[in-house]
Order: sequence, then structure tokens, then C-alpha cells
Amino acid sequence: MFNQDITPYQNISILILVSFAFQSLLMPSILSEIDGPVGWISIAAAALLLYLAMKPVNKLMEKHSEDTIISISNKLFPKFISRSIGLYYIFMFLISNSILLKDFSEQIKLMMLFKTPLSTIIIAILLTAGYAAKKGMQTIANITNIAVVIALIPYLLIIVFSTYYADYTNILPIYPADVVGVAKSIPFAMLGFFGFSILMFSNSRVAIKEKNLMINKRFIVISAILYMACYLLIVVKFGIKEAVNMVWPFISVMKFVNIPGFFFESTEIVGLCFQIVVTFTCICILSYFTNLSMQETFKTRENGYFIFIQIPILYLIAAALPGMYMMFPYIRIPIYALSALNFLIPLLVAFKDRKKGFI
Amino acid sequence: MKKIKLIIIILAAVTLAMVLTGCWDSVEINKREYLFAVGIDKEKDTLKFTAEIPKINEGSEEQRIIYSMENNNFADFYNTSYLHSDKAISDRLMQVIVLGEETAKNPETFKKIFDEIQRSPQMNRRVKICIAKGKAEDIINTEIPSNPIVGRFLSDMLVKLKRESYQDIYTFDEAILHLGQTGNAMIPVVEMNDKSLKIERAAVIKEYELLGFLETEEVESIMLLLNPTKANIKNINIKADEKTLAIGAVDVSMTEDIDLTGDKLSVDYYITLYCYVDSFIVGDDSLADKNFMNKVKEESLKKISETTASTIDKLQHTYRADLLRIKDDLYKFHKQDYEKIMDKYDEVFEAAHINVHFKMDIKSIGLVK
Repeated sequence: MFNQDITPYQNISILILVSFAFQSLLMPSILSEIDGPVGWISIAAAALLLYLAMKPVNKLMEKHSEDTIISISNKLFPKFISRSIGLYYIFMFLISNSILLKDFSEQIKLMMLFKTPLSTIIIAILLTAGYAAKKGMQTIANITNIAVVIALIPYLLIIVFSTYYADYTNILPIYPADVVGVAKSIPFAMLGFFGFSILMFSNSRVAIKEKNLMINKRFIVISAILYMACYLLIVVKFGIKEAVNMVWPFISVMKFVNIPGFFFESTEIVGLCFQIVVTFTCICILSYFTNLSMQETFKTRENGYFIFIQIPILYLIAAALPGMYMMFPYIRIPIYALSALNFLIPLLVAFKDRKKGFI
Repeated sequence: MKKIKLIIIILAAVTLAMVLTGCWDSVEINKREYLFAVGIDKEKDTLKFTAEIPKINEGSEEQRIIYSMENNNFADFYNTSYLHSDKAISDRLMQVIVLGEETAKNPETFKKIFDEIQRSPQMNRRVKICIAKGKAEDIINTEIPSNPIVGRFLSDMLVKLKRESYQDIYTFDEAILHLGQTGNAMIPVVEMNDKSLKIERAAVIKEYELLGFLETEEVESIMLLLNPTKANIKNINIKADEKTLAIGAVDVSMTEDIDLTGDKLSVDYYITLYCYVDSFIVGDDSLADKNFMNKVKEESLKKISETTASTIDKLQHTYRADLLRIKDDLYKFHKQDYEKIMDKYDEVFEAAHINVHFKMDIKSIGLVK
């Protein structure tokens, strides 16, 4: 049904874009978890761990180039374990997508559609994203490529322009660093590299699979640079104390855009428009991969209808969840768990595959 | 079948195009009133908002309407204004917020106003801010013949002063960042000046409370220590050998040395002023005399040192407000030592030895000898 071939560069666009959406979502937790402006160390440490993990993962993906992590698990593990891995990915994608959806719709309501009920915004996004996801991987990959060029890059440029009159000494003090805080926030930073989980599925859909090894590593490096740069931009603009105070630092920083020769009545709306494209594309991508993981876990032949099935589930979770900023005091343990599982499951599968290979 | 599908698609597209325009409650620009300036004065239990709205929709840029009403907060003010006008009120183009002296003296009110501005998704954090000497209402009501829109006048003036480094803060954003980081801020003071307005002095704000005012020379001295490369020093007028002359600093370089040992804080600023002679007497060739020039330097340094020392003394002992951002430097560059004294920083600052060592180099005597 779907045309499943995408180019390696479409793949890297997907990985970077999804990661960026989660990085901006998780940025406030990294900011508030550490005493001082050294959150970039957590990001660098998380990137290093993922980069190291990429070696066994790449070997696994190279060996099973046509398979996703779930279909590899089906081959390697007993049914119960492989089903559990499949169910975990379905659960994780659904939860992550609904959190993204809820946070994003709250931003739209607060900044743009003041009088529109939140549920209407959520349903509108879900129906549109569901339609796009149903069109298949290649359509999503094309949307992502376009989104990177027309939305993500201008969005990042706007953030750079927002740091007019910033105090660059705000990145200090580095020493003595809050080592405990840095260590505690590494899982938050790791979850920000959401593309790491996506690539377990997307690699099998790439037309030129030999390039996956390089693309995966490149994704970690580019995403880490982007993540650290955004963190530092927020810190130099607001200073750590004020940055911690922000619910959506990425939106607040838009209020300072000062591009010579341009006049915007409301600068944050311009930024939000770009963010709409970025987040909407991410919701499409996540819907597609939730569908794929459902399809592979339940081993069904009909492969498009899970997109429609997840719409009411996503709506109910998004409606039930409070906004991300209200969840911060309670989400530390769930984030630690998700982060650990996202990191360990691929390694476990790679380890099992290697062991089996030796036998 | 294909025809039916096509009809359904066309119908769906037309319906969606009509339904999802997102402009159902749009308000055209000629139906809006844009606030340019708002003055806030504290009354007994409420706040008095005085808003200036230019008549931009009627093609008369130089005319304005002024609303004045008592409310509890900004939200109340907008709601009431909505009921009192045929147009929709908007703060998207707000240029200046002027806080009355009494408002700024009350930390609770000050914090409430700042919180509301910060919390508002609509209001731009780059809105300019200043403190009124007296009532903010009087400032907004001032009829300036050359530029009748007070919001525009103050906005242009504050931008100019910031660009030339006459003042440290000019936007709400800068004010709240400084107050958040160090607890202190120096906010421009606007006062009446015959039929116009002037901004010469600055208000000393500590923990969201107006403590007092700094005179022009004092603001100048602080700006010299905060931002020496951009500092704008007015002429130094001195008398040497009974002759008056004026010297202007064209370039400034500075190094600072901060030392915190236990509770003892010592800060030394080493400033070199590169000056030109701006004004002397025609026909007098004393400027060629080395001894005379040394005297000129001596007198100039004495004068500038006295002003700086008295300003620092005022900050340390009268206001106990660290407008020099030494606290911020300690946090960024001496974090370990700073954490030991952070709870009693005010006492440490008050007892600190802050010295400014000036050096002067007269680079040129101008175009004539």
C-alpha cells in the first residue's frame, strides 16, 4: 500500500526534526534540573553515550537491513519478549505523541486561537496529521524535507536574531559544575534525541541502506550541536534564573526578534507559525511509526488502518494529560524509565543478535 | 463514481476553505485602538491607568486620545476599556510603560505589574519602561508641541539614550532580567521639563522597590564602570592656573580586579581615559606647556575621581544597591567563594573596598595649537 522507499537525506531530516521537537519540549526540565548554566554538559554526555551505542546498533541494522527493531526482536526473542518490546514501542510512541500534541495545542491556544476550545485544536491536528500519515512514508519524508527548509531553518534563524542584546557571560560559571544535577539530567537530554528510537524503524525504509551507518552517526552529531546551541542561546538571552522561570523558553525568546528592516506586529506568532509546521510534521511522523510498530507487533497485513485507530487513543491521552509544564514535578521517574528503555532495548537486541551470531 | 468523488472533494474543499479561514473574529485595523503608552499610578487600593492612543486610523498621526481609569490590574483595565469604547483595544504596539513614583515605591504593586506583563502572551517584553518623577498620569498628559504622542517621544528618547549608553536599561525585558539576576536595576526617570519631558536621572530599584534617584553625573559614573567602551562622558570642565578649559574623553579602556577573601570584598577598577581638548582660549599657548598639561590632567582626574567615589559611596551606604553588578561577576567568576557569602551579600557589599584608579592621556589638543 505504501511506497516505502525514502532517501538517506530524507531519513536524517526525519531524525533531526523529531529530535528537535522533543528537545524544545524537554529543554525546561534540563534548565531547572541543574544549578547553573551547564546543561550543555548533560547534552554532550547524552550525545556521547548514544554515539557509542550507535556502533552495535548500526551493526544490527546492517545485518537486518530490511527489518525494524520489532521484526528483529521477533526473530531473536521468544514471543513474549518480542511482543513486550513491540508493545513498549507502541506505548512509548503513543504517549510521546500525545504529550507533543497537548503541549503544541496549548501553545496555539495561548498565542493564537484564544477562544477555540483545546479539544477542537487537538482534533483538527489529529485528523490532518492522520490524513498525511495515511499517505505513506514517502509523503511524510517529503513533508519533512520541506519542513526542514521552510520552517526549521528559519525558526532557528529567528531564535538567533532573538538573542539581540544578549549577555554572553551568562554561560558562566562552568566551574564548579553541579555534577549531580548534570548526571540527573542526562536521561532528560537522552530522551531529547528521540530520533534514536525512530531510526530503529526508519532505517529499514531507506532506499540506499549502505548510507544508514554514516547517516545515523551524523544525526547524533548534528542533533547534539543543534540541541547545545539552542540551550546556550536560551541561557545567554535570559540568564539561567529567568530561563528556569519560562514555561516555553523557545516561544518566549521569539518576543525579542529584531531583524533590521523587518516589522512584525507580533514576533512570537511568526516563530509559532514555523513551529506549527515543525511540530505538525513530527506528529505525522510519530503517527506513521506508531502505525508501523502496531502493524509489526500484531503482524497484520492491512497496514494503514492503525493510523485511524490511534486517533481516538491519542485524543483521549492528550485530553487527559495536563500540559507538559504542569507535569514537570511528576515526570522525572517516567522520563528516566523511558530514556533507559529507549537506550537499552536496541543494545539488548544487538547483544542478543551478536550472541546468536556466534552460536 | 469518479464524478461523485470529484464532487465530494470539491464540496469538502469549499466547505473547509469557508470554515477554516480562522478570521471569524478578526478586527480590522480601523476598528482597533492601539495603546502607545500607559502610565500606572497607585491610588489607595487600586491602580490608575492612563493610556495614550494615537488617532492613527483617522489619518491624523499627531492627535491622540487619553483614557484614564482606576482598576485592579492590566486585565481589568483592558476589560473596562473594551466596554468604554466602540473599538477593540490592543496593546500589541505598546511603546512605553511609565510607572508612577508611588507605584514604584511599593514592592508588592511593582511585582504584580511586572508579573502581569511577563505572563501576558500579547504584550511584548521589549516594551520600554521608565519611572515617573511624581505621577505617571502627568507624564502621559503632557502636551509636547514638537511631538504630541508621548509614547513615541519617550520611546525614541529611550532608544537614543540606550544606544549612546547614557542609561543602562530601556526595556521591560532588561529590567526584569537585571532584577532577577542581581536584585538591583537602574531604570530611567522621566520628568516634566517646561512643556516637554526629559530623561536625565535614573531610579535605583532594589528588590522591586524604588529607593531613590541618581543624578546625571552619577548615572554617567556608573555607566563608565558598567560599559567603559561605550561610555559617554560629557565634558570635564576644569580650572587650571585660573584658566578654564573643557576636556572630552573619546576612548576609554578598563580592567577590573575583584577579590573576595572570606567576607572581605575588594574591587579595583583601572580606567584609562583618552581625551581631547574641547575648549580653551584663543591666543593662549599654554597647551604647549608640559607643566600646564600635567596640571590639567591632575585637575581633571581629581574631578572625575571625586564624582565616581561619591557615587560608589551612595550606592554602598545610602542605597546598599549593587548597581555595578559585582554580585553577577562574583557568581560567574568566583562561584565557590560567592556561595559562602551569598546570604549576607548586602553587608559584604556595604563594607567592600571599591576603588577606581583613573589614568588620563590627552591624545590631541584639537585642530589649533
